[in-house]
Amino acid sequence: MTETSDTIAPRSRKVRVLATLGPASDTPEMIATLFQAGADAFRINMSHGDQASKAQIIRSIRALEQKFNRPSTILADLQGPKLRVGKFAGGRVMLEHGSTFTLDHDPTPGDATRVRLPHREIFAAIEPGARLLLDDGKLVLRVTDHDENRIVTNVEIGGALSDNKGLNVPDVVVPMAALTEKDRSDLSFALEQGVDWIALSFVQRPEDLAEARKLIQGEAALLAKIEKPAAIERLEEIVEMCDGVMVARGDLGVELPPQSVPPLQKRIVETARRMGRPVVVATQMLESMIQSPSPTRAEVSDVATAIYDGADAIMLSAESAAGAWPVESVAMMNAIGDAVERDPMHGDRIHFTVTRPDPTTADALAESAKNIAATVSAAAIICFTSSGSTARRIARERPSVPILVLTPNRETARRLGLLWGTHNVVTRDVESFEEMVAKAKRIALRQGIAQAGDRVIVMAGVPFRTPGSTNVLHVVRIIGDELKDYRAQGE
Amino acid sequence: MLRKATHELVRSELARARRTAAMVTDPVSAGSLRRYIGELEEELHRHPRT
Repeated sequence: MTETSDTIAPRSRKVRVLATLGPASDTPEMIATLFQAGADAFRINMSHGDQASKAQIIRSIRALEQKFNRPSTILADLQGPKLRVGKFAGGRVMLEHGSTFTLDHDPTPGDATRVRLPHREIFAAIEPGARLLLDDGKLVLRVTDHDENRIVTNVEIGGALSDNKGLNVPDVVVPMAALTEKDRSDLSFALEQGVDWIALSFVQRPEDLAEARKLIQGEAALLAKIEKPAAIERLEEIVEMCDGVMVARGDLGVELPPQSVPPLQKRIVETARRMGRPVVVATQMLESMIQSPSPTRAEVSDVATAIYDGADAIMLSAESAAGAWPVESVAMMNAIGDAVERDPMHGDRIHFTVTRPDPTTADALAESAKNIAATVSAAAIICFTSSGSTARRIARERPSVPILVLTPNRETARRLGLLWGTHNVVTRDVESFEEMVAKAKRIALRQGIAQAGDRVIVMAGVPFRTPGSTNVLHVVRIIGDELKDYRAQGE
Repeated sequence: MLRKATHELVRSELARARRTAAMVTDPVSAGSLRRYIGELEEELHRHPRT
């Protein structure tokens, strides 16, 4: 994965495409095809399938690094404490509008009057008047009475209800453990496999993330999925405690009215950007492409809105995992990204969100780099980083030019695959300032990010190998003969 | 190197937890984060900077 002359060209767009893998796309050939079509990172949904098959998928993704000479990025998405009702005699019942329906602990298969709810925490936390939403909100129950053994409800919106359907409790904070036993097993497996990001589902409180961080111990970055109203109320605390955020619009749109989701999406993206965390917009982005080779115009507009808002990444779920057109879905995301970022208004719109730098040298330099790049029409900002912190600071500023990230750490290069606008290259560490500048110029030329005559901005921390020490900003011009007589091997 | 990396990691985690704790008003969360910070402080003493 060390930089060589065979490296493929960097993406021209800055927004990243995160593609979920599944039955429609988990062969080595298909994963490579998705990468070529525009997928920058891959999501593995731990809710489905066994660990052995996921290990094979992870090996296939990592094989891309040899094939395309680029770092690969893997996100393992933990199922989380998803609430479900029990089973019914006959597998399915019809709940009538206005009828009474009870949830209890009785393991006997349910009927049109009752069913088991295998989550004791809810019986203690629930309150009269609270809503229970079943099957992604298709059915609505209102609590009329409860004790520690039963919850009595009135059916406000009825319909068919079958075994193990999902349950949402939007009106109360249910004190569920952030990680189920399955999550702990999947997390341990994912860390053993060396995945780059762990996504935690149904986050409600900052301590949910603390619990996960204790187990992860820095072996992967942690992404908080925002899909509960409780998380919205404590958004800044949660963002502070994680490394990245996902706007998980599926469950968010079940627990809240659908018209609440767009303003919340903007608020979550704005908060994450302001606090310097990468943010992924997810769920139903190109939903019709599960069945159709082309999206609706409304879906294209939805993806474009996320890009104009300045999201770091846009995500495909079932479109790439289980749909009939996974490659076309990725190619469409890629095309939308290119088109939106070519819009002359894109830069102005993306800076509608003001990201004020923290009062640190590194942040001040990152902001300056963006401004200098625009003033002197630099071709790129090049940064040396070991932890990725400098790259995140520069990306937060959303500069108009590409960010070429040079790092000696393969893990850092992989994790940065979700970050807006970066092209990440693993390279040997440098020993001196002169070596740093020379290497920056060579790699910029070789990667096609700059040409002879271009100016580039080089950022680093001196002394080298001291995380968080970014204190140098250097503007240099590329002559064009930097590669003359220089062998790429061993760079 | 590993020892230094561990120190840096714990220090960074501790700073993050302290920043979060300063934002929290919910007493249950505050208690949980105080315990987490205590654990990280102990961890930091086990991995001094080299």
